[in-house]
Amino acid sequence: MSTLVTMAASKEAIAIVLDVGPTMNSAPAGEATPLQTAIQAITMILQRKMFAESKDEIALILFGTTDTDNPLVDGDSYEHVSIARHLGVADFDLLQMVQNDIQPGDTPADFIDAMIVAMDHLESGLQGKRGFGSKRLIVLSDLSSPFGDDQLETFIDVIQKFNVEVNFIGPDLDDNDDDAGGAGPAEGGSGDATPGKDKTPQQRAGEAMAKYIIEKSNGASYSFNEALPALSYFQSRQVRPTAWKCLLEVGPNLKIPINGYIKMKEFKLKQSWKNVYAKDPSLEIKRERTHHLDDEEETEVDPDDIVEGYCYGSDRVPMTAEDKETMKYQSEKCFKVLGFTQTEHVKRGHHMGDSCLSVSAEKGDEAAAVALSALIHALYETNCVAIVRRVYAARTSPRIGCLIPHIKADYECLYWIELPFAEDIRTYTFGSLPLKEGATTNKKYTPSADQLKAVDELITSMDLSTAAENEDGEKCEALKPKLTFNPYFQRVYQCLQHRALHPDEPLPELSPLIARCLQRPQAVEVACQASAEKLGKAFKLERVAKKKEDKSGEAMFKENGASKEGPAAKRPKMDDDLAGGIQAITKAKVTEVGTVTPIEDFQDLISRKDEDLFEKACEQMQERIQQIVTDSFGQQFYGKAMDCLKALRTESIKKSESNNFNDFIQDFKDTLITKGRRDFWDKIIAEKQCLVSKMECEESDISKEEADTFMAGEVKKEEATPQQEETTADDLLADL
Amino acid sequence: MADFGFARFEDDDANEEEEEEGEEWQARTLKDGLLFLLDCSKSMFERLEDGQCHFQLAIRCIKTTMQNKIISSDKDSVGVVFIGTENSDGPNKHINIYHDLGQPCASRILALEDMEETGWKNFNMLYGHDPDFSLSDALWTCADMFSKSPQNLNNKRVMLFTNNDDPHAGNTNRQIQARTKASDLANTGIDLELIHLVKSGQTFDVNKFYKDLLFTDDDELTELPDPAERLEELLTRMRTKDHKKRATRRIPLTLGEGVSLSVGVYNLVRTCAKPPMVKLSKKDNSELKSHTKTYLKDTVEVLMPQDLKKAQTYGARRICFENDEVKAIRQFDESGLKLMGFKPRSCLKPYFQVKPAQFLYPDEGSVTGSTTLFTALLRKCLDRDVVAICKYVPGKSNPPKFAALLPQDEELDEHKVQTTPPGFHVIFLPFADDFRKVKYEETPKANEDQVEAAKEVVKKLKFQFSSEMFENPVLQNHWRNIEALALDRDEPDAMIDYTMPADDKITKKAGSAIREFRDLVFPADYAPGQKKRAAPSESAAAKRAKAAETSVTLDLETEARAGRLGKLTVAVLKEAARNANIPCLATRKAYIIDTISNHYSVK
Repeated sequence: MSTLVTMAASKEAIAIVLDVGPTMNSAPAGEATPLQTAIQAITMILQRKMFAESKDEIALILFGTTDTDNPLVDGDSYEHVSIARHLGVADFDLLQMVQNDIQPGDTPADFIDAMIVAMDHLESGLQGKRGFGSKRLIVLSDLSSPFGDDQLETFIDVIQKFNVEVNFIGPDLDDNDDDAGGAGPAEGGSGDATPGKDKTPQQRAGEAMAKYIIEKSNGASYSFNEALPALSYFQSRQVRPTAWKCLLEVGPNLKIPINGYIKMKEFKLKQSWKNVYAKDPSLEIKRERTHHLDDEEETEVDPDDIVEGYCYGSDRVPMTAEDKETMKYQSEKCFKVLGFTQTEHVKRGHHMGDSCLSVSAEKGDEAAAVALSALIHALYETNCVAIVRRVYAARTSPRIGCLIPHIKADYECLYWIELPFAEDIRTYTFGSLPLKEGATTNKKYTPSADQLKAVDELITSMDLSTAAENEDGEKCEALKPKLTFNPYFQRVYQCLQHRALHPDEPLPELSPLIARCLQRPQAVEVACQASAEKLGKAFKLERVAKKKEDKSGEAMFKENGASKEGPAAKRPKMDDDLAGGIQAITKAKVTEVGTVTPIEDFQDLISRKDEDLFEKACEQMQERIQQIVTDSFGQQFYGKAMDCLKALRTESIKKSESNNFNDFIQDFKDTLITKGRRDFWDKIIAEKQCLVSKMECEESDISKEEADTFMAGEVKKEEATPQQEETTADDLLADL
Repeated sequence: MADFGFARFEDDDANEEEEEEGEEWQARTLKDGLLFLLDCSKSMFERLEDGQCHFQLAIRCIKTTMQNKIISSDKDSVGVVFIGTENSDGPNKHINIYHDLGQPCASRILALEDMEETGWKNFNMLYGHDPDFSLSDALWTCADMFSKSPQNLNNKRVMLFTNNDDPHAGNTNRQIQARTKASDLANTGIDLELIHLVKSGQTFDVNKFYKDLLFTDDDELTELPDPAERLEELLTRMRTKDHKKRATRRIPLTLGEGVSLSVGVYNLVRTCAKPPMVKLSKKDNSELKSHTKTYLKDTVEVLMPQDLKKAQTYGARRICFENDEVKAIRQFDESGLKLMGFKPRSCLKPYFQVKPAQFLYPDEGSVTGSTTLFTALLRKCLDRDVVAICKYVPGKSNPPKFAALLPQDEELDEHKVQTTPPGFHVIFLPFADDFRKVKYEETPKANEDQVEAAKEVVKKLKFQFSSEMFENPVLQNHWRNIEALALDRDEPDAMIDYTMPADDKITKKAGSAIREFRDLVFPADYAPGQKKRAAPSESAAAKRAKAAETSVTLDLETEARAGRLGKLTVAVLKEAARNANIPCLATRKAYIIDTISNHYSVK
């Protein structure tokens, strides 16, 4: 019963309380004012709410405004507090208002007053609304205006009673040196005990008060620097974690009830790009797929006359729905230990899948908790992991994975990570590298003592583990994944937002906020200058010229030989692996793709069994195709170009090198259109020589749908990575 | 089989929606060619101790190889040539082309099967035997078949099965011819492999004749390896797709301003998916092509690519972009890896899992000096136990990701064969967006005795794990099914599901340890997974009845307007909704409440 209530109450009511008072509007020349940064933070909150299609409702309360607009105002209490936006789902109107209409005020106002107004507004705004399980106040202020604490206890009572979480976001908030000041609340006289920090006594008092409120409300505070990363929690909070419940079995007689929660999972944008009619995006578009015989007329086949099947060599084997049903691999939901193994037998590079599950004992089952705790400690102390078969639900595919013990001061759990099956592993052999002193293999590549020293210095100078500073001024890890946003999502949001607000403008420049997270931390960038320069001097790196007339195929394309070992026949590796395998056989034959017999040249190059010229050959082939098309008088040479393109595409699929081809074809389209060769592009479409999809080549990054839409003129760039059944189900559950 | 489909090897039910399969699946491509040259002299048909003859053994090898090829690389061409027969089907005496070079298929496999089981008995009648063949002619036939192949063959190989170590004894002329021909073959890139069959107690002296025909890298060849191992290899059913070693891309790794080496990126682990489903005509099982068209629903006007734009809908606005813009949004940077800095390896948490890893190896071919710098970097990262954190842009239209380059030293097995190559694993790092908040409850911890008991269980069930140990049962089952259908078998080949725990073995090895552990951690009456606290739980029927009772007395509208729906149980709400004729299929409370509220227009 109680769980049902929490599930129903999945929405959050948020009041954003923004200080627009005078101190928020002052900053040294060239720096953003706290107000500007706060607006940016609010923009991000709204942006993420909107783009997460959140049903949370948001109100905006301003304080420090010149005017007063709130229902509590009574004489001189609650002055200069204005409700700028009533509680409602975040939308572009609100966003536009935040960005354009917030004016700095000239009167300082009491932030406790503002919070009381906000609480009152949440209460009244939620009248008759359902499904709101939590309430939150987000206060953005530098806390440097005077406040009165006469209402404080009542206010604390209210937020505790209604279980309201309070977050403060401000400049350098919490960066206080309690020890230096030794000050409790209200003591404001410690002055500038810390050099470099210029907080006013008022501000210190405000911060002390904020801390007190946070403590009482189970809230948190963030500096502006921390705020943006922390905002992701505001957003992800509504992914209600749902347990995967199962029994962890060790043999037939030991069953421990467990709950699995997704700890980490590659996040996908909530929406993908939809095709719309350019002239009127509101019209509904349909897609229809028809199947045809491979005859002259391409006779359409009725769906009733179609059966699914698979290839068996050159045969096509039909498999009816009944066949499928009876032949299907049967599985029951389970989580069964197959055995235990030393941690080092499970290689980090073999971790599979797009997620990690945190496994703990069934909630409320103390016996299970003890059992699991014993197992976790046993694994931890013996440096072992469990190898486990997992079936997510009946009739889904089993997976192999490992359970890694994880012990923290306040909790312990097992992390479930998927591992590959035998079929998923590709046993490639690579040449030895002279990693040890005195190694004889590939000796000529042995780095000298000076070179090693240069690398050593580089590593020292580029230590990220101390490149950032935490709120206490201590050195800490920079570029922490937990605090680093996916720049692509941010960019999409930025573009969507910009386009929504300015439909006629081109795409905006990459926001500095996004660009910054892609650069080295300043501290590292500065520290590594000298060592990087040294490194450049210590190593001679030379780009191999792309032009290669008069060179033999052998010299041109040194590739690691040994491309022929199948997984079945492991060959002892050859010492000269690096230098190109069996050089003796290389003949000075075709050295590049010419214009006379491009296809023959191309196939000759790529079929060299002694070396891998594929990439170079493709590059040349692409150049040829472009050349032939551009040199063509009218459509004169199109046939030849098309044959070349077909050969290139076929080989790319065959060699599982489709991405190279896909990159080419996308660029080629642009080239064709800018050079007035649209007719050739149409030919490509007609001949279906377009993007290679996953369907044709497993290496491809392009889904079938994307390929189709591209062919239909659309580049669907959303990564619609095919979801595996299980994870989708996980997601669905988690999202509800 | 480069054409495996989506990385989905899930339920077939899930595939129902993937209608758009099978379209361009038949990209006919050039692959390897393999010809079996089979000595059909009388001696090959002599019964051995096990009642079988060498000919049967050879046929079985060929059949197994063909079956394996269909799964590993079904675009390869395979052919079978009989030599030493009495009659001939071509210009060369005593040579019969049994299967021309072609893609393996069911009928060929069935023919071979028949030949192995019964057909060999009639061999004399159909083909006859004659030892007066010329190996030179046989090799010429092979070369000719390769050259006539409509496929462009990448790697050409001839496998010769024989039990005669001196086929042209006393005929120097033939010997010289054979040697010349073999050398021609080697020069045109055709490998010759000898599978020599020996009767127990007999020997096969390679020095007599074959040594000069086999152009191996090894000049010291004086003795052929024991054929048993190779035969076993040829007779083992393998149902695994073959992967050719190839860098997915070669990109620069930039360590500092102007310091860029080149690396090849490889996929060493990747989910192997089920082969793609194809659409066939029921009439003749021919593969169908598919076409897609996009049209306006109202006017049925067919839309061309240039008529379309991309859109997403947020905050009640439909936001449109041109196709080029959608592409531009993804573009941040040129492709490559850019070093951000280093972190201790311990910063790379085990739960950082969003994508399978890739692998880096230096690419001397694009930038000379790469290998030395790569080696120095690898060595120092190993020494100092650090990972290199990089910004990774795989291709110029891929958005950037961060990755940790995890140094990997080379590992060899006892035969000095590489088991793990040297290089860097590219471990993809998660973004803040990928983290989920997991709440952990205060739970009781195990005491020392309990931990010790658990350790005993762990110790008893310890094994040396390797990923090669576990075949994917779904994939294996799938292939066996296709095989069974294609070869018209009554049932598919038996499969061992290695992912199922061997309960009897576990009990035998660790039964008592498990019992002891269980007794230490679980109360005597413990029933796992059953909520004891909710002891006399009501049956579903009882709940329904009770709900029905409550709901009759309930005025749903009043409750809804008063906002009291949340206080009712799901059963009561559903029953009440039914009574009030509110269609409600939802099972989750929030939705039921929403439905009811909407019905009464309560906001």
